[in-house]
Amino acid sequence: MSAQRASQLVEAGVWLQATGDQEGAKRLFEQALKLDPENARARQFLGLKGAAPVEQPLRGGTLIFASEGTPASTGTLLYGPGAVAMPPRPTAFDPPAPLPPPVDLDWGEATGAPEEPPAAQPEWEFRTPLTPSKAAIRPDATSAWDSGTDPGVLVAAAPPPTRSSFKDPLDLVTDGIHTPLPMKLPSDSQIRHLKDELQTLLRGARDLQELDDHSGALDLLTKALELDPLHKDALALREKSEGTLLGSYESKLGGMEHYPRVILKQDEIIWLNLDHRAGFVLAQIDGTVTYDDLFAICGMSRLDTARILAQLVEEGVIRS
Amino acid sequence: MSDRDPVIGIDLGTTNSVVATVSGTQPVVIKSRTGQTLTPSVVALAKSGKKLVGQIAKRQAITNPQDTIYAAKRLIGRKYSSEQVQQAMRTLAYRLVQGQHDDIKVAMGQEELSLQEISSIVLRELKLDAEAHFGRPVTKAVVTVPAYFNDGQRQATKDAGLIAGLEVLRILNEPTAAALAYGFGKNVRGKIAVFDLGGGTFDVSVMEVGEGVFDVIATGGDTFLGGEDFDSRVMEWLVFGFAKEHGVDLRKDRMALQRLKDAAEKAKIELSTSKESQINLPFICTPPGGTGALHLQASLSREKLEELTSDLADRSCQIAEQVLKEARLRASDLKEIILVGGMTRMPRIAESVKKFFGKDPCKGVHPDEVVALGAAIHANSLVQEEGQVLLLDVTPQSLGVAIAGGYVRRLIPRNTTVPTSTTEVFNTSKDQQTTVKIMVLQGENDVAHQNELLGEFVLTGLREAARGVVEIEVTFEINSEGIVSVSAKDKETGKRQSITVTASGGLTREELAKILDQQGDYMLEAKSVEQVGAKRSELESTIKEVKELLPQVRRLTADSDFGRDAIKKAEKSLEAAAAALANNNLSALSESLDQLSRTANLFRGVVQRIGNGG
Repeated sequence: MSAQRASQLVEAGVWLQATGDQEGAKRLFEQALKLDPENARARQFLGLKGAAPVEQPLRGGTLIFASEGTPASTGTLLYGPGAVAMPPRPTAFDPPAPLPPPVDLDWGEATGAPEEPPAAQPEWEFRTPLTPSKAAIRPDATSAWDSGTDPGVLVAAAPPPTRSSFKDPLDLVTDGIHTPLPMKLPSDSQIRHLKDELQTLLRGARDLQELDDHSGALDLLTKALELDPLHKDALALREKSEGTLLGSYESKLGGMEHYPRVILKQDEIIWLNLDHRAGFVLAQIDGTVTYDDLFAICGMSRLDTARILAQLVEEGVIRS
Repeated sequence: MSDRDPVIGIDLGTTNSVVATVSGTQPVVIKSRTGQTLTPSVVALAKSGKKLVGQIAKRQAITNPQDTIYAAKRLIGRKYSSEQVQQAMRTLAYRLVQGQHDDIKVAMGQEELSLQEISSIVLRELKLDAEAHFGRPVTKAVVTVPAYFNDGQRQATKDAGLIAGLEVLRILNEPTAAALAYGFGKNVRGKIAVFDLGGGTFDVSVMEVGEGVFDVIATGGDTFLGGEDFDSRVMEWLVFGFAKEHGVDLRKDRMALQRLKDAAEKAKIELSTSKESQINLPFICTPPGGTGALHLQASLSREKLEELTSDLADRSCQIAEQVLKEARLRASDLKEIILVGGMTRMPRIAESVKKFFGKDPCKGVHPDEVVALGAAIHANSLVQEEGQVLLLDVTPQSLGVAIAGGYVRRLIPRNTTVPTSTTEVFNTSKDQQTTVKIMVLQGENDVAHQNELLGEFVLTGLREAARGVVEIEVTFEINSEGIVSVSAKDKETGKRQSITVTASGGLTREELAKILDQQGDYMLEAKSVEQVGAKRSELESTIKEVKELLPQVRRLTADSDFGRDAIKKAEKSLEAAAAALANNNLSALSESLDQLSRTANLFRGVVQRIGNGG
């Protein structure tokens, strides 16, 4: 029984590792080793003696074995031979990554030959223009920033937002890269497999909750709810983890009526390793809004906003 | 300080609103409780369920477009089916719903609110700012509206004031208020122009000012031209430049757009006083599959801003030219030019105005504040026992009656100084006609149904005769409050019927009464929100305390049954407290606070007794 439980813990740990939560995964592997000290996979993932050959997880949690010596740098997993690199889970406060090249163009000077004007105007516009907005952009301008040339963007212009299409604004940037797949009903064996997978994830989540790793538990529960969005246990466990995390994050902020301020200077801020969500939250902090206001204006879930704010406080970026 | 109840003047703008008062002899702007002079006329329901007003609502306007209500002034007092409203709906991100009598409702979250209620939320915010300034209740105000507002729109604004808990002493025309702020009418007599380029609308008014008379000779403008168009040009430039540099279209990300909008407005304002503005937006977006968030850094010069917006500046002057033409005036006929609205601080606009009118515009009063200051001066004069300035206003639009063929006969042309009265004799249009229907219309269109119907009544018992024989005398009277009385009299029999037209802003008396009742509930709700906030705060500090005590108690009671039980209970209480904080429910918060307070007391006792060797 212990060996089976340990194996389940390892499975859950692999899930966590795949989502980039190395710390949570490590805890589960350690827990598995407590139950089954000889568990080769747990030992292997923990880099202990007597480990199984290096294995690489597949998408969906299935594992295949790759040849020994495959580099396993933190946050990079290989999905089968040939491999696609997966970036580390984006956290706002990873060690500073090298800065992207500064956008330090001369916005008023030429940087290249003007290109052809765009074939069609984007459907979206800021408001009804009185005159075509292009009239403001000189056709003879030579700067890349000033000309009316096609910016050659990767992402197509979006239609105006509607009530039904609206969702978390922070996710919009990744819109358009997901292509909806045709609906296909799963077979009985697939359903069985999904149920097993779900149970594994739930057990892992419970274990992590016992270990007070609610962040890791949430990752597993998110995965579980992707498989069965209405699963009562999963929902209850998620509520528990979210409540605990929220309490924990909010306790780091002090009172909700406090006015946070940015401590770092602008040229220090750009050296931080933030994502655009954290960048947005940080941009809202100007000493005139309370934490409570920030929860209202950031447009994210309370938990996400609290997590970012707590991290900003912990990292010494902001202070009440 | 006088014991007199404080009075305020409010410039209820399309984009921003300002509140002012007269302190001693000087009109002064009352700053908001967060220290700002301008309060954005924006109301929102955040995703968190919190109602937001002003600056904070504006800051989430792009990320929460469907529940952020702005530019309510463009719609207030209008009919849902009107062309202007149907046109405006094409550009609005929030949803409008048709009311029971063709009035407009705005969908905000699960609620449907009238525009009067939306505007009242902004007015209430200004009222609260004023109360914070005076330290006592404020109930009396003068509120300004554009000169072209009809009676319905004026009444709707009055109703908004009433809902906000304000007695609106007078609705004042914005150009009149601006002229009052400069003391015109006393030191300047003659024709003046008010050039008002605000955040969302542009108005030009030409006025004849004299002793207490501010006669609007002509007014015109564009309800879709303002500072936001200038911001949009800067945003487009930034978006385009970023796309060229990084191949990423920022318009796809509303968070990025919100930051761009804020930055564009800030840069535009900075460029009114400096030659160059730095725009730094770190971590503006994380591109799909990208390795890290990208920064936007740009430098915008005043010259570039002027180049991007030159057509907008030119357009404002073209409109001013049209208005002068309509008033059959030349620029040289004008004695003074008053600049109103934050956009007129842009040097290029001020230069264009100077060039067009051939003279320097008036200086000395901040263009953002001039209307509110004028309103405050007028409010002060209305409540002063002595030295009251008699201010005569004018009818904003023509008044008349519907006549045979579906046309209008105008009895009082627009811009007529009120109070006024006029009488005209009409004849029956059919043989043996014994009744006549008097339809009172307001507007400038010759076709009856294209005008606003203010009211109607029927005069019966006319003598049977051939058409054109019976004479009916129709009299229009407008008092200084703008209330219109219309009477019709059969000249032969002396039989008389009349109507007093009280302009309707779209809400019936019953609806207004219901809203006012609900205000009481709202105040209770606000109090409850305050209680929830206080309870949350208390619970948060208790959680902190218990968490700090927990390791000590664990250490001090190690291996004891009491310790195990107490710690387990404490952990459960902490979990319950976290859940209560997440739910934000007053009873849950109170219950959790009671529970956790007991734990905190117990822990403090343990630490005190055992920890101190007691």
